[in-house]
Amino acid sequence: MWKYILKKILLAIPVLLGITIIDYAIMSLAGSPLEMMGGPRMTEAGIALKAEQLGLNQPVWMQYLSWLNEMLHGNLGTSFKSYRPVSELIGENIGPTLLLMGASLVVGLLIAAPAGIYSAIHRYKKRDYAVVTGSFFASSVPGFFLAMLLVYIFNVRLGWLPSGGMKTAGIGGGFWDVARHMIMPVTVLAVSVAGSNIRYIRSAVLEILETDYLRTAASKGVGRRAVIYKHALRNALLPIVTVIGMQIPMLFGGAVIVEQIFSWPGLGLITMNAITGRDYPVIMGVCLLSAVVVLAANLLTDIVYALVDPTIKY
Amino acid sequence: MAHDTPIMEVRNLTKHYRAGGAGLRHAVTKAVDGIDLSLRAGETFGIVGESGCGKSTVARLMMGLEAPTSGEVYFRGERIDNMPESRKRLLRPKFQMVFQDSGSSLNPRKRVMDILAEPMLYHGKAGRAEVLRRVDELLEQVGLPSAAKTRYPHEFSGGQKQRICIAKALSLGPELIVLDEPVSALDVSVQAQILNLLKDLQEELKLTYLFIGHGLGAVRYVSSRIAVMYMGKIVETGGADELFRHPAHPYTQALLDAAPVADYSLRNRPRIALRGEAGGMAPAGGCPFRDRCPHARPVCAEMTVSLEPVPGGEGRLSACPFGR
Amino acid sequence: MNSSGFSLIMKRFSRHKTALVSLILLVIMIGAAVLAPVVAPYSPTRPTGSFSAPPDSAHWLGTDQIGRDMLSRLLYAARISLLVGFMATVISTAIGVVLGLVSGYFGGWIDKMIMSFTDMVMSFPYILLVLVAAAIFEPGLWSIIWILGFVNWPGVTRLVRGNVLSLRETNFVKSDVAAGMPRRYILFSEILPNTVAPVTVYATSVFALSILDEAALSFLGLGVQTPTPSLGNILNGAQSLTILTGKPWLWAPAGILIILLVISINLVGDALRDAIDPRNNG
Repeated sequence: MWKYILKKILLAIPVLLGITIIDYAIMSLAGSPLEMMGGPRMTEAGIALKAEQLGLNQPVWMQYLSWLNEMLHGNLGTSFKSYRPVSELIGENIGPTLLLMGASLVVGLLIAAPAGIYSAIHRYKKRDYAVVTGSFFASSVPGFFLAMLLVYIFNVRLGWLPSGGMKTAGIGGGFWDVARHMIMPVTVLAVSVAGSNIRYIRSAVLEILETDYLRTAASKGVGRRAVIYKHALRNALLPIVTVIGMQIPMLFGGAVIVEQIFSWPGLGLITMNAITGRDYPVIMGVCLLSAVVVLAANLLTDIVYALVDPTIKY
Repeated sequence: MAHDTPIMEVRNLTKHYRAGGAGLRHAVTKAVDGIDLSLRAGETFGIVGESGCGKSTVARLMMGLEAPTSGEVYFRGERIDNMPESRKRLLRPKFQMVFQDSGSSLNPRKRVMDILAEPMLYHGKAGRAEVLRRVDELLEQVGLPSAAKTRYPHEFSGGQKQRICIAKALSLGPELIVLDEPVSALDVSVQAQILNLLKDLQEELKLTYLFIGHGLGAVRYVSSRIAVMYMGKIVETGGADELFRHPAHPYTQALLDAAPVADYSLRNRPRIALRGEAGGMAPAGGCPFRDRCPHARPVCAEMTVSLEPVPGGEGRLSACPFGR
Repeated sequence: MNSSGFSLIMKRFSRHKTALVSLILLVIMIGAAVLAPVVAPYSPTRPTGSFSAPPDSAHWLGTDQIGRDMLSRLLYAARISLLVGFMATVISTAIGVVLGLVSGYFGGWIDKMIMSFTDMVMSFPYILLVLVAAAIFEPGLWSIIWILGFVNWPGVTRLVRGNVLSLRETNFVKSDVAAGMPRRYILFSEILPNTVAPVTVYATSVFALSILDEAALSFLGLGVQTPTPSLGNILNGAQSLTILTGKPWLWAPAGILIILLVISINLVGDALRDAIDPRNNG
């Protein structure tokens, strides 16, 4: 088992390096941050000096290698804009994002799992079609449009919920205050999580319901309900575990947009700012972090999979 | 019979598969384990054995669809197993293959005429102008109407599909056709039709067949010589009639006894029943059949088995010293 | 595809009532969008009415802040969004099919390299990739098409590779090898035609996804740029509170149109998947 985990970790390292190379290449391809900084007040000499300070006068691959070298020493660099260490920026903003993603994942799966199972059990009945069509609907609504609708209804019309932010200025910060701010962003993300997962869970359960041993169990007169709950669900857990792993990149992407709309003070917000400002170190830091999170999620999925499924050899 | 070069010959042919597991401790399945065969021009050579004995692997190795782990394959005296594909490609029309599952042997998205014509055009066996006439000819040879050429494979029955497969094999003008259980998947009545078709074609076109089957009846019906395979090895070989009448190896005997018999008077003959099932791991050392052999004795676990001539049998070989 | 197989698939497809309705809707929407220059009542870029007028008989969906007809803008926007979605799908499908064919057929180290690259792209939060790319390249119609085309291929690659692996084991491919047919023939004449159906189905979901992504990017201002209207950048204009609260005709129709387009494409794709599934008989 430990050997298996070690092997997976070793396999993840080149993938991680590959991702950082792709990031750096894309980033450097078309624009220098100096273009953004250079204003009418900057002289050419000033720009050149700046370039030297930031190491931007070197070839791209040298820049990448020095970034890599620093990164391996635990230094993610300093923001070009705010001059603060990237690790500090990320550290400050990661909490709200994780809170948002975690809550959305849990809520989304709490909707998707019962709906998917229900749908599978009632296959080819009206109820099944209703659930499946609903799930298509959920994955067809653009997150930002849903966000706008929610703001329109619950903030503008009804005035029940705050339109953005994480805490009410001045008085806020308590559990209930944060929870109130979370309702809309979490709803948007959870709808997309649920939308894509309901069909997946449905087909996972269906596949298991069709296996021979379940038919045998049913033919032996074990009640249908007992069959489904005792055998099918336990085995359906496995594919569901994989789904959770696959959600992470999607969720992070969704979080960037949702944070932007709801001014949620998380990683997504600083990422958008870094992107529009071509703040290389910050972009690289966020990309690295998300890649690590995704790979860690994959690794975790593999491990859980191996633990749950005894037929997998490692 | 003139004993010139055999049309196809294999020497010490071996194929091992890795059976799961990673790194150094992977297990090895010996699908084919040191086989020698030699096919004479114009004959039908049969290979029988239970499923999993490696007989289909032998066919694929001879056809160059897989590379052997060791051993050599010769076509008309020329070694082909290590020949680069670019050169082997020119030889390939000479030896063709018909598979067991005719359903998956034909591309479902192509019409029969495309299936038959494309290889002929590629190998220059027919020009654009005459290729359709060749297609008609081939269809007639296998007993299908010329109207079949514009249809798709799924519009045909199993037996008809197998006829198309045979036509495809014939299209390149082969000398040898390897028939890998060509009738096993068909209804009994259709089996006889296909077997007769194969016999007629052999006579008409002077073909050599390697006929692989697990049904003894079919193999005996078409073959002049037969090899019996067990767990990747040939355990007995010889002329078909002789081998069936006086099996020298207990495994051959068991196969014969397990086969249904038409003659009622033979129903109550003494039989050897096969115990257990083939396809598991062979016991280490000694005779691989000893676990299931009714005549097994202690010495079977220690001796080195090899194919030795059967006394009194013309060119017959058997791996069992006690039945010989 | 052969004729009888096609009619069988159509027969199975038409059993899905929702999918049939979706297909009709889709045809209408695509038709209206493609024919926008013919059917649109006004120019999408020139003011033709008063500012921000609510819907009336002259302007069915009202006018925007500078007096352009919203219905016309919406039609042209759908045209652009469909174009982006379609082209991005074509690009991803082409990349995916080529890599999948190569990976599946040749195997070995080529396969390993392609698959680890595919995993890399797949495990990346791709909105991030798109955002970075969109921010760096000059935003515009064709950059968004290329960007979306370059992120959605891994799924196609995996699908095609899996198909090739199983087709490579079929007897008809083996009998081609036995007949000495060249690799390019086996790959393009035997294997490729048999992957068309599953790839088409998968492409519908890429199409739907690309439309959603274009909308999201244009909404963030990183996609199609004004004055070219797209469904996403129409919504971008609605971020201000006054429009959101007081002028729903400026944003609601665009959002609804995106949902209708995407859900119709998804439902049609789902029914197609069902119809070509060989496990369904009759």
